[in-house]
Amino acid sequence: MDKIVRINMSDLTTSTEPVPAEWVGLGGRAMTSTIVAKEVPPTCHALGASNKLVFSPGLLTGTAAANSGRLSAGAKSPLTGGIKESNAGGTAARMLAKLGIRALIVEGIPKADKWYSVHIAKDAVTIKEESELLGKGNYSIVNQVQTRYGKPVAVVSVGPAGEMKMLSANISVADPESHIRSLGRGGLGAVMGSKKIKFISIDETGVPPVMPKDAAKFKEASRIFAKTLLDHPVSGQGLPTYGTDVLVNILNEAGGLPTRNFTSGQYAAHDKISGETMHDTIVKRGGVPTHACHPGCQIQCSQIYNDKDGKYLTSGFEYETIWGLGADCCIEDLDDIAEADHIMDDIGVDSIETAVMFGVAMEAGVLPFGDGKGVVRMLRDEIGKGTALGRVLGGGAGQLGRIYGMTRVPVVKNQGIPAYDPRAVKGIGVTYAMGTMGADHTSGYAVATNILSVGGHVDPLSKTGQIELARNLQIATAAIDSTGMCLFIAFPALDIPECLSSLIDMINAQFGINLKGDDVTALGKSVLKIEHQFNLDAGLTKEDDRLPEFFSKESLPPHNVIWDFTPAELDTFWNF
Amino acid sequence: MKITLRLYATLQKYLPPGSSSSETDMELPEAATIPDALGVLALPMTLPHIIFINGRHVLRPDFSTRRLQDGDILAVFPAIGGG
Repeated sequence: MDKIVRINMSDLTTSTEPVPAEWVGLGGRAMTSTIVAKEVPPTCHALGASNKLVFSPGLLTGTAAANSGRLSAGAKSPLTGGIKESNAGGTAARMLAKLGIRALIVEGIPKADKWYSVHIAKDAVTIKEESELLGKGNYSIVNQVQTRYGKPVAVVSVGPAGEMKMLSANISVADPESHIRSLGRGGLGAVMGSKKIKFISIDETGVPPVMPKDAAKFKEASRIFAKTLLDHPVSGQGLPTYGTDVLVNILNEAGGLPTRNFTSGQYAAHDKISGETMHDTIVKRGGVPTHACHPGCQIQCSQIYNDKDGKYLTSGFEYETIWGLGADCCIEDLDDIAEADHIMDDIGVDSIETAVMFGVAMEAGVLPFGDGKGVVRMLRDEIGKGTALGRVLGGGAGQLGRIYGMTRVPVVKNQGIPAYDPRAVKGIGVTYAMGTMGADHTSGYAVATNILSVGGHVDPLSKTGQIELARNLQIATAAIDSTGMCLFIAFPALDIPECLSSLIDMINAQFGINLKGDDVTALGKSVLKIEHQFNLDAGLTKEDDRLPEFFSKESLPPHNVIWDFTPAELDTFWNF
Repeated sequence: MKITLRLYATLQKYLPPGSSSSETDMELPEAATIPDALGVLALPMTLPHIIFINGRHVLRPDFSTRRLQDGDILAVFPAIGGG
């Protein structure tokens, strides 16, 4: 029986209720954004008692559908001041779905100055005081919590950064190997920290698998869907072989690889940090180049990266992290970047926000460009320990830029701009500007069509067609984020018609309904509009839907292009 | 004429022995096309998915006819993605 579970941290009680009629048929981002918009006062302080932290598995999570195991988390963001949804792999989403929990809503703030854990099992949701794991990193938390329960329970946790309510704090989710995936963006770890929850553990013991209403139809649709993932060269070959870091070289060729705090579009040492180099290094050291971030993932773009001695160093080592510390901070040593990635996962900070912040910090003279050892030290000894400088750095790129009086600060809605320069990849620039989440490449990945020739081709250097492209992709993404599917199914979905039709068939077979393609588009539009309205009610305006001024003033080599959309042109994004 | 050819991802195995990790210089006859250049390395034209000349995309319909010029940097990728 599907249900909503509430955890009230103000009076330390839990409650379970049926899914209200208006939330039936929602999952993932559609569920979290709908609940946040309905129950969180938009003008509340994001770290105060009125904010709510909502977790939701996607519509198909827990089923046999390939790549359906993403967990969404939503709240008002302390970083952007607007609504936030972030999603990750790991094992938690599947377990919540199997337990029938369509949404887990964490409310209030404890009256006492104490920390707690939450344990969710078949018949009970329990809040316990927690002291032993305070101050501990996420790797240690996962290890110790799973040892306590004597089995691989799902673990959702915050590291020291979340405890300290830093704006770059993320929420970690244990993966099938008890390593770390991240609900990365927007400071959701600070929201969890404000509610004094160190970790949530989930035990699926004794619950049956999630069964579809029409098993035969589901099985057939699932088979077709899985085949499209295998057949498409990106999801079937490129991503499994090289992971996301394969993008370094192509963005460099396209002149859109932000380098040295967004002052160039090409990085001379690109080969040293490329996916090809990473792949060869992983294989040479006995690591795992192809790895699933959640059960049932067929694309397996993750990896396990070992150090020079062949010992585990990090996993889920993504392009955006490697770009940020590599090209944007000019750190050439992949091992330094990997060590930094491990520490960021452990202390619990968003690796995109933190890398963008370090780019600004290097220009500000806090440390030199290229100083990988310095980054590792500052992560461990300043941010991780919450020194005064660490608190400054842990507030993200926007805060660091304000404190040091910088003008070249690549953020939108105070969230760091990821790994694609908007001057040379204009479609993703529209997504950064207009997205409800602040600068977020995943909210409308126009790079696919601008750079990767997936879903056709729209010239990345021209304004033509970019607003329509970003709008359509943001609508589609809002829908995909509601299914529990990994966003990378978009690669086959953009090129192979059976991918999307079989996805809809699976949803219909699962719930015994009759959705059409137009219904899915309508869901995406509805989610975006709910989020946009929340942002307006929270006090964000059209002027927040803009890129920083320097993108319009400073031309980007090698193409020597600027950001040239007018405000009026950008505002047409919302004409739907 | 002389061009620089860069091959990435699974296409790197077509680079001549002794190349740096991703590029090689090539001598080609005047007005050579992209297939002419890739043919020197026996790289089948069915494999490229994304092609740049000097950082600008070459669209698929032009893959087989686009002529190269002296000093061009030709970069060729299979289908890849990430994000």
